[in-house]
Amino acid sequence: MFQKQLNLIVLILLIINFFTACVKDKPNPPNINITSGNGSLVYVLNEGAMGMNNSGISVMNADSALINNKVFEQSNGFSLGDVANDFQQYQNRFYVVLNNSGFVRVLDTANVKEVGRINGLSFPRRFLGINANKAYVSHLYRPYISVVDLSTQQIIKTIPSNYPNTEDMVAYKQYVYVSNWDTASPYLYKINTLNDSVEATINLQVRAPHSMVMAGEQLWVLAGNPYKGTPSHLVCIDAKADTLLKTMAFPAQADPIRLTCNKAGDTLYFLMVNYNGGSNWNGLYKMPTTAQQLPTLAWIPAPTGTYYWAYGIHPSNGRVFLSDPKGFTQQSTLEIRSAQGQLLHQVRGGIGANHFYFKP
Amino acid sequence: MTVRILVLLVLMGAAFIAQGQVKNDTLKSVTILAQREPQSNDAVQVVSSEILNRYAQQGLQQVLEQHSNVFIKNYGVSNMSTISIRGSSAAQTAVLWQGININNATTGLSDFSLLPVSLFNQVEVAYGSRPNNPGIGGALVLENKRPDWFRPKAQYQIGSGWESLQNGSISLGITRSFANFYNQFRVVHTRGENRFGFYNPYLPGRDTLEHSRLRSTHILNNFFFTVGRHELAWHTWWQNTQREIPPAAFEQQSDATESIQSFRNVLSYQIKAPFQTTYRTKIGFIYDAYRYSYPLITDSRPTQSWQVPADISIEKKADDHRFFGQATWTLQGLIVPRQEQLSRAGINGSYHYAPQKGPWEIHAKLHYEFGNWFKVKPAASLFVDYSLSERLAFLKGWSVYGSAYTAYRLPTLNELFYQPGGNIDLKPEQSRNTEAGLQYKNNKPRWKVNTAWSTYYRWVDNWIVWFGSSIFTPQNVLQVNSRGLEGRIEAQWYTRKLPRKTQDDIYIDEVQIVSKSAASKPTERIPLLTLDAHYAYTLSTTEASDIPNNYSIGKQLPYVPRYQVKINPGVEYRRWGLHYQFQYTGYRFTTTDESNWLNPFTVSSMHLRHRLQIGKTKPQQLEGQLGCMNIFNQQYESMVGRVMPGRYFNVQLQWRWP
Repeated sequence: MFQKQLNLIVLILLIINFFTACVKDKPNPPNINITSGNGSLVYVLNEGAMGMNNSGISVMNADSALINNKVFEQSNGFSLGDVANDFQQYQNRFYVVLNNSGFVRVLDTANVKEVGRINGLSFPRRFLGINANKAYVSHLYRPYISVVDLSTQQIIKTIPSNYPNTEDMVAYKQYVYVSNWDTASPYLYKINTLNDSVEATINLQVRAPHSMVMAGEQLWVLAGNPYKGTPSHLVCIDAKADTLLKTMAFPAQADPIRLTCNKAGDTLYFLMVNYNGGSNWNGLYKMPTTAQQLPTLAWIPAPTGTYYWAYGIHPSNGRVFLSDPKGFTQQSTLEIRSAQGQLLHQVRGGIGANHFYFKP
Repeated sequence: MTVRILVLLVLMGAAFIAQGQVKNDTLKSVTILAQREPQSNDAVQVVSSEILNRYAQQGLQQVLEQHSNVFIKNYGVSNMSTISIRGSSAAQTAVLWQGININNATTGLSDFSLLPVSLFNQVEVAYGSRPNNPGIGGALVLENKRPDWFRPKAQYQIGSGWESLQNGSISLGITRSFANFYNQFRVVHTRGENRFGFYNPYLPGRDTLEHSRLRSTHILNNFFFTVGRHELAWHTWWQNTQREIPPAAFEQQSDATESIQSFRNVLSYQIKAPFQTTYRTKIGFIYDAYRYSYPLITDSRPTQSWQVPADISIEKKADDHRFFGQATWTLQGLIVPRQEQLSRAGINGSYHYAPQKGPWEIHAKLHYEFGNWFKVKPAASLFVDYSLSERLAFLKGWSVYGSAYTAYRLPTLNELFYQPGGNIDLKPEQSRNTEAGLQYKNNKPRWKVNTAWSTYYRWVDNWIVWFGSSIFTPQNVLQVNSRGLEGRIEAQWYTRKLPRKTQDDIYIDEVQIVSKSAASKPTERIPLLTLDAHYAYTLSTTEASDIPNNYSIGKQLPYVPRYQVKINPGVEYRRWGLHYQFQYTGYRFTTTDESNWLNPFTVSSMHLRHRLQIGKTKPQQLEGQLGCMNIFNQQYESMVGRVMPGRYFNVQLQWRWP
C-alpha cells in the first residue's frame, strides 16, 4: 500500500514538473545595435510611467526604422530615471530632464554616456540653453525658473513667477518667453537673459498657457487644462510689441498639446488628445498661421482606442514620426509616415515616447 | 457546580437544536473541552493559530507572504500591501469580516499591512471563487472566536513587539464570558519609524529610508447576547492610521502622507428554529475616510465613503442535506469629493450535500444581483468532492474535487467617479472558472499530514486597467486568462504517539465533547518537527484587448510572479521552538508587455521561541520570541523603487492568563 501511495506522489511530482517546465521565467529581450547607415538617426525620449522609473532613450534609423530602446542603459549600466519630460541638445551635450527624479542628466552626444548631472531641481520640466555657461529650467508645481551654471552644473539663481507650474520656454532675441501652466494663471513672462529678470508679464486673457512656438515674429501659445475645467485656446502674440493678435477657442472637451511649426513658419502643428481613445478631437492637426478658425478634422487621426502623445517632422524629408503611448503600461507604437501622412513603418518604442529629436 | 449547570444547559440546548441526530453520549460521561480547530480543506487554507501566534505583533501581510500561495504586492515597508490570488487584481479579492466584504468602497482594496494579526483568531485563504465567497480571485476570511457559552470565564492577553527598524507595537485583549453575554475586546497600537539603510541602485550609493513614520490604532469589539435559541451580536472595529509615504529609491524627496480612518459595524441576529432551521439577518455599516496629502506637489485629496450591506437568510438542514436561501442588499455612497450612490439587491440559493458516510460532497449555488448602475449575468457555481478511499483502499486519505463557477466584480466608486479620469461607462468584470484538485489528509500515530494540490483555469472578460501618465483613466480593455498549479503541505511529526480518535470525540456546533477520562489526560501535543510549504505556478496572461497593436497579448500581467516557493520547517523541543522561513519569488514584470521587470529574490528568516507556563490551576502563558529577518541580508525590491530592508531583528512577548 505504501508503495502505491509513493507511486502516486511521484506521479504528482512529475505532473508538477511538466507544468513548471512550460514557461521560462527569465526574460530574454533582443539586443539591437543601431547605426545610421544610409539614414539619419532619430533620438526618441521615452517618458515612462510615473513612479516606475522606466524612462529611456531610443535610437532609431530614420529610413529603416530599426530601433534600440535600451540605449541609455547599455551605455551607462543604470536606468535613465522617472518621468523624462525633455530632451535637448545644446552645444555638444544632450540634456535630459527627469521630472520625478528631480535632476537633469548631461550626456555625451556621441555615445549617450552620462558626463554630469544637475541636481537639486524640484520637479524640473523643460530645459533651455541660453549660452555656453547658462541654461534655464522650468518646474512643475514650483513658482520659479531655475538658472543653471552649465560649467559647474549648479543652480545659481531662481526667477519667480506668479503661480506654480512654469512650463514651456521659447527664446526670442535676448529674451525668453515662459508660460505659466496653472489654471489660475493667464500669464506669460518675458525674461531678459542678460540680467535674468522678468521684463514683462503678458496677460493672455485666457488661463493655463503651456505649449509655445515662435513663427517668425509671432508667438503662438496653447492654453487650457480641460481636465481641471479650464477650456483650451490658441493665442497669437506679436512678439515685437507683446500684444495679443488673435485668440481662438477650442471646444470644451478638446485637449491640444505640443504646438510646433514648420521651418517656413507658415504652418502650425499640434496634437489633440482624447484619453478615452474616442474619435473626437484625437490626432495630429495642422493649420496655416493665417487661418482664422481652428481645424475641425485631424490631419492624421489617431486610430480608434488610441491617442498620440508625441510627433516630430523630419527636417530634411518632411516625414512624420508619431507615438502612441499605449496607456504608458507597455511599449509605445512608433509610426513613420510620409510627408503626406501615409503610414510607412510601425515599430515598438520605449515606454511613453514623448519627444523626437532628429540628429543633424 | 455552576459550571456543571451551564454545561447541562448548553448540552440541552444543543440536543434540542440537533434534533434527529443520534448521539450515544450521555450527560454524565462527557466534558466540554474546546471549540473545534478548523482545518484546511481543498482550496481553502486555514492558517493555523500556531502560525498566527508567531506573527502576533505583525501585519497580516507578513503571514500571508510567508504561509500562503497569495502574492503580496508590497509598496515598501510600512506602505500599502495589496493581495493577488492566482494572478487576480487586488480588487478581485474579497476580504470578509463577520461575513461582509470590508474592501474600501472607494478603491475596492484592503491594505494588509494595516491589518494586525492579533486582532483575529483565525484567517482563511479561499483560493478562487467558492460557493460561499464573492471574489473573482478568492477571499480572505478574518474570523474571531465564537462564544464559549458553556462556561463563564475571563481571559486576558498582553503582547508587545519591537523591531530594529525602530518599530514597536502593543496589544491588549480581554475576553469575558457569562451565561448569556460574551464580549471580546482587543486593542492594537503600532508605532514605526521604519528606518533602515540600503544600497540605492538608482542613485548609486548608500541611502537611508526616510519619511516613513507610521502610527496606527485598532480597537475591535465582538459582543454576543443569547437567550434560548436567539443570538444577537454586535461587532465593531475602529481604525485610525497616519503614515508618511517615503520616496521611492529613484525619487529625491517626498512629503506625502496618508490619513486613514475606518469604522466598521455589523449587527446580526440569528434564531435556531426547530427542525434544524436557522434564520439569520445582519446589517453592516462601514465608513471609510482617506486623505492623501503631498504638499510638495498638490493640495490634499480627501475621500469619504460608506457602505451598508444587509442580508436575511434561512438555512435548513435535513440529515445530510443543507439548503440555504438569502436575500442581499448593498448601498454604497461616496460623500467626498462628490456625492454618488450605488445600490444593488440580490438573491442567493445554495444546496450542500455532505453525507456523514459516503464519498461525495456536492455544493451548488445560484446568485443573481441587479442594481441602479449595472446589469450582470446570474452567477452560478458547482463544487464536487469525492473521497477516493471509498473505492480504492490503498488511497486512504486521498480525495479529488472539481468545481466550475462564474463570478463578477462591479467597478468601484473610484473607477467610476474619480476626478479626473473616472469612467462611468465601465462594465463589470466577469469570469468563468474551472478547477480540479486532490487532497491527501492522514493522521497517523506519530505524524499528521495534509497536502492539497489544485490546477485552475480562469477567464476574465472586461478586466479593468488604469491607463495614463498625468491623467489616469480605467478602461475595460482586457480579456485575461489565468491558469496554474498550486499546492501546499502541512505536516507534523511527534515523538509521542497521538491518541487515536474515539467515539467519544464528538462535536456539536463546533464544540468538542470528550469523555471525562480523555479530558483528564494532558491535551497539549507539541510536534517535534513541523513543515509548512507552499508552491504556486501562475500564468496570468492577456488574451485579447480593444487596443490596436497591443503588445501585451500572451504576456504575463504586471506584478504576478510565475513562480513562488515558500518553505517553513520548524523544530520544537520541550518549550523551545526554532522556525526557519524561506521564500522565493520569481520575476515580476512591471509593464504589460514584459519589456521591464524586477529580478527574483529569496529571503530567509528565523525565529527562536520559548514558552513558559506559570501556575497549574489557572496557568499563565508567557511566550518570548526572537527573530532575525532576511538573515542573508539580501537586497530586493517588492515594487519598482521600493527597496526592502536587509537584515533586521525583532522581539515579541506575549502574556496570556489564565
